[in-house]
Amino acid sequence: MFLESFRRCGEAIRFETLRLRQFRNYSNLEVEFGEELNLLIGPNAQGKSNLLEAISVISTTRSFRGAKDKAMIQVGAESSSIAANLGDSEIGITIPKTGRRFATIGESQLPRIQDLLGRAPTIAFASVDLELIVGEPSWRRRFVDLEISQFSAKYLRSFSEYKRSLEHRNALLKRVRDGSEQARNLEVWDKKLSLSGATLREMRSGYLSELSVLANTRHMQLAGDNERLSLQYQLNDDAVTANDLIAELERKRPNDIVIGATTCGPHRDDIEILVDGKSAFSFASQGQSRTAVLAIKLAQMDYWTTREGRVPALLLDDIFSDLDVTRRQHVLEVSRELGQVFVTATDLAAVDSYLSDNSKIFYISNGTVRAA
Amino acid sequence: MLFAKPLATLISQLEKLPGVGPKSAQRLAYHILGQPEEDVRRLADAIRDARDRMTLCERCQGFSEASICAICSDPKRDPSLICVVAEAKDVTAIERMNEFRGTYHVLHGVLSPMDGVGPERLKIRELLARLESGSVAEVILATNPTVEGDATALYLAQLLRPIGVKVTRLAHGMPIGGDLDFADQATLLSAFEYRREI
Repeated sequence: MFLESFRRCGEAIRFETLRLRQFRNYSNLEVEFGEELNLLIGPNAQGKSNLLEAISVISTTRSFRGAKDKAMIQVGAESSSIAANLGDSEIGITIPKTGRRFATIGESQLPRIQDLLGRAPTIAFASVDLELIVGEPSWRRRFVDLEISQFSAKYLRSFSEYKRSLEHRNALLKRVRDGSEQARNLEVWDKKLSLSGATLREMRSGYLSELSVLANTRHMQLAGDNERLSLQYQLNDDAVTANDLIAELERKRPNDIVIGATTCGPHRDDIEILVDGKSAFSFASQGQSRTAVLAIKLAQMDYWTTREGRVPALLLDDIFSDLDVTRRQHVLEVSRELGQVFVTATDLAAVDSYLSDNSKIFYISNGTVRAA
Repeated sequence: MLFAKPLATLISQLEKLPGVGPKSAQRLAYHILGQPEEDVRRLADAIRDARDRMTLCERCQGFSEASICAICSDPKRDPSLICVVAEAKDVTAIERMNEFRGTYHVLHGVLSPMDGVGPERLKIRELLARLESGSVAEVILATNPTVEGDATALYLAQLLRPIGVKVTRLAHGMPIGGDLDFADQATLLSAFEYRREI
């Protein structure tokens, strides 16, 4: 099997148990998962995706569906909590209706919620991920930001610094425009933006050039040898270093003051995804787009396995109906080779031929989970 | 109406205090109403008295009963060393350490354009005035290691360096007695960036 080389390169993340309190339609739930394939079967709107969402929240602090905190708290409850036993440690996150979220490891509270990142990496794949190809540039930036933040504290710090400095600079641009502050007060914010911004650009393009190679390999396996896939980081301006970015911010300043927004920097960058040398955004068919996204997701797994030495858990939310038989097989084989997988589906028919002794089936109906 | 007017007024005044939400404000208000009249009068007097008798020290801009505060007028303190802090409460934190023998300068905030705070809203002019005499050897920037605190330190450093005074910034790093495993990653990262040879 071609995946032998990846196998045992890294330590696989295993969610042994998951405990939910007042999370969406689960008042109080404790599930014991299987080591490899976990199938969550049930009709729509019974709570299958909510389980995957809970795993993604405790892994990345965010919902892969992009849901707001409040939406995840059960109606009428004051807070929602998720806890997971990872074998060697237990992590938890509590999301209150008002006030700050907090995370725990064992009995201790972590200093900041972000310190949960990277402790139990997951990769989610849902139909909304097609936006990576057909969506606005913000989808693609969010994708790299979330991913790199999971393994790099440096990136996460630069990212939050950049975001906050950008909000301050934009507020200041408007204050300069209406005459309540002087333009030279922008200097310090230009400097802060350029330092964190240059780090974001450097790390994003570094990550993407590696991911591109891995994604192309996966794509060839999925689509045949002659369709090449590549991901290229696209700067919105010519600034590469922090000094370049400072110069660029100064150059754009008069215009920025007029419109009250910052018009250069990594928050305007994009990722160009090319299939066979052509922009997937403009030219890819529905089928090509799906294959490209799948290749990118598998490449993310490969990146973790080979570069970070850890195998993330894979969360596949209702994508089975969208994939043809060969691709289904491919995904399940890959994931079974690599680590723990969670798959939601409306019925067993699509997946039962892949079941092994280590697979576990759960039937989900109206907020209750029954292990088969 | 949910509350009688005097109670509603008290609640809405308490709500304006930092860290006090609507629920705490109600709790405090009911507590105050339940106290003996004498105690409540003492509280009200203490608030009014503190507000009336405390003023800003002309030199360091910290709160003081006299026009020059106890620290600035202490002959044992070194006036050539100025530690710049964002808030008056930061002075208390550093004084508790009982090690710093210089003087302070309180900015009363940090740069924060989102909240409409620019340099002119901070006590920066007063700081520059203290440097005019030329007898200040070092300015220690002790604003918090947040985006706004760093930006304020950066702004001050750019302003002060041309004057020829030594400008330093407090180190960021591991808390003493802290456990590496529980350190937040941002702190750990800066502890590595600012590591030194021993």
